[in-house]
Amino acid sequence: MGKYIIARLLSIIPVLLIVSFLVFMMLHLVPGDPVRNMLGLHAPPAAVEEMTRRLGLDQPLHVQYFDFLSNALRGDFGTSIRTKNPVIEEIAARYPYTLNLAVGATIFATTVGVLFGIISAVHRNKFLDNTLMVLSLLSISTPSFFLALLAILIFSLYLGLFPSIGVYSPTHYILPILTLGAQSVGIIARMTRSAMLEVLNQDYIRTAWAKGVSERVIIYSHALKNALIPVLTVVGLRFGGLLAGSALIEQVFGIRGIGRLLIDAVLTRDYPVVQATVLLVSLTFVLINLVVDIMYRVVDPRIKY
Amino acid sequence: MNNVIFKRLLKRKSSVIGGIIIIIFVLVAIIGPWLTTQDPLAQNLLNTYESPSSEHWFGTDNLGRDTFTRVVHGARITMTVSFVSVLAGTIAGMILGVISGYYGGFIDTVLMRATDILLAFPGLLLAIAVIAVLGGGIVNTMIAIAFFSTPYIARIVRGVVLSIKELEYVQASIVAGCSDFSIIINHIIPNSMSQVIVNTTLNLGVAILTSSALSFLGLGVQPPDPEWGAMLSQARVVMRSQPIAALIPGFAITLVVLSFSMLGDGLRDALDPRLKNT
Repeated sequence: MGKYIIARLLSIIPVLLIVSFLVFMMLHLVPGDPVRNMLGLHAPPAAVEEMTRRLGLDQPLHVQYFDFLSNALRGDFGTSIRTKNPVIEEIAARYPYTLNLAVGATIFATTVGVLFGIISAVHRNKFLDNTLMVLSLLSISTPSFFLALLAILIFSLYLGLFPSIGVYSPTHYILPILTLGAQSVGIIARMTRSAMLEVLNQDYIRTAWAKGVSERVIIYSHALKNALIPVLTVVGLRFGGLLAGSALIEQVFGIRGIGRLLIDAVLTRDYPVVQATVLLVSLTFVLINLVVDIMYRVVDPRIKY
Repeated sequence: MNNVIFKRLLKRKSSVIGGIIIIIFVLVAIIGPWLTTQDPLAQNLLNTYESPSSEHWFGTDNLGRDTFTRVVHGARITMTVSFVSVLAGTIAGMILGVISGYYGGFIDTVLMRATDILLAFPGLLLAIAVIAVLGGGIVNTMIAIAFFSTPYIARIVRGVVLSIKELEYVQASIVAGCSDFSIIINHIIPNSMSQVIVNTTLNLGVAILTSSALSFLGLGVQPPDPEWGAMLSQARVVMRSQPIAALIPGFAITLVVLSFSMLGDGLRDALDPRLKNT
């Protein structure tokens, strides 16, 4: 197990190197002069020269990449063009909000999605199954930002049950987490149902029924454990989607998370912030999927590394 | 054979309903401008946030533009963006998947590692990164969506090609001296089409969600073009007093995406009945 974790950790290094190279190249792929793009066409030549030097754009490409990488490893992503603050400080102040949203939404989506999937599989082709699957399909098809607006309209503006702006208390997180996670509930429910149906048709489950094992033990102990591998994969992949998708929810609920930081940076061509944010979100996504890979072994001891 | 698939598809009511709704929206996208009498961009600042009336069925927006007209015209933009981007992504993905699966070896390794890298970015993040480089607008939104849907299709097609190329009739074609191009065109591509069609249909829904999300964030289709996501973004500030301005484009997005999902599910079951109910 220890060897596997080390091997997997080493295997993500080339992925991260290429991801970092692509993120580094973003600045160079921008049509036109990136410095002019950031400072405007009429910026004084001295400011252009200073910015070119500050970003290291006067150096050969491989030197620039090496500097970018070594600085990034030390947490130095330069300063924001817009706010003049160190990028890492901007991110550090905002990342916790986004992580809270993504983790909360993942927990919500996994709990409810797995439960819906189990209920659907157990009541296959009955009313409850059909209702839950229609709800799942509806949740997958509804844009999170529209659902968030509907939730604000109903639960904040009409019923006054939840606050709709900012994250000043745990209650403020409820609507953002529910609306962010809703789409994943549907995806996880469908995957759990599908995996459970496959397992419930296995001989050993039939044997358990024949032996008179209780329904609860068969479903939660025998079937669910074996159906969890594909579900885990989806949960890992969804976490990345939720991290990126939180930009939409942050926009609707006025949360100063990393998603909003990224959008503002894209709109104002604040490339150091764009690069750092894209790199950190991708890094988180890759690491989460590494954790999921490792968890396969915990869930299914038959998996040998 | 196609008749059998079509009959299986027709047996599933939800897919038929989904298909009909999509046809209606496609028709609206094509003949939309002739269905409305008003200009979707014409402003009337004396008439802002008007409630629904016989003149303005869904009321007016913050600049006095007719919401119904803008939703109808928005169908054209939304459908065009999703169809073109998914088609481009599918063609690119098919080419990469076929080359990767058919030739294998070094090309396969390089192409599949490249798709691994692209899949290391969450989809929406990749689209935002592409927009950050290229800028907003309709064309760049299409490129962004095509860019992130390509690796998924490439992986699926490669998997199908790997299994097809070992089949006897393909091996027989190789022995008979058929060229690679002929085998790919006549055997490989036609036999991988069922998987491609299913995934393309499902991707169309994802493309609509992504393009409307990008426009909602101000990164996709730019004002004053009537795109549903952008309309929703503009309407959210008047959610309390004028909820219909946000509800109509929101429900339009949901309905179309739902329809593509229902049709895609039906197509998957019809093309591969083993997957039914799983």
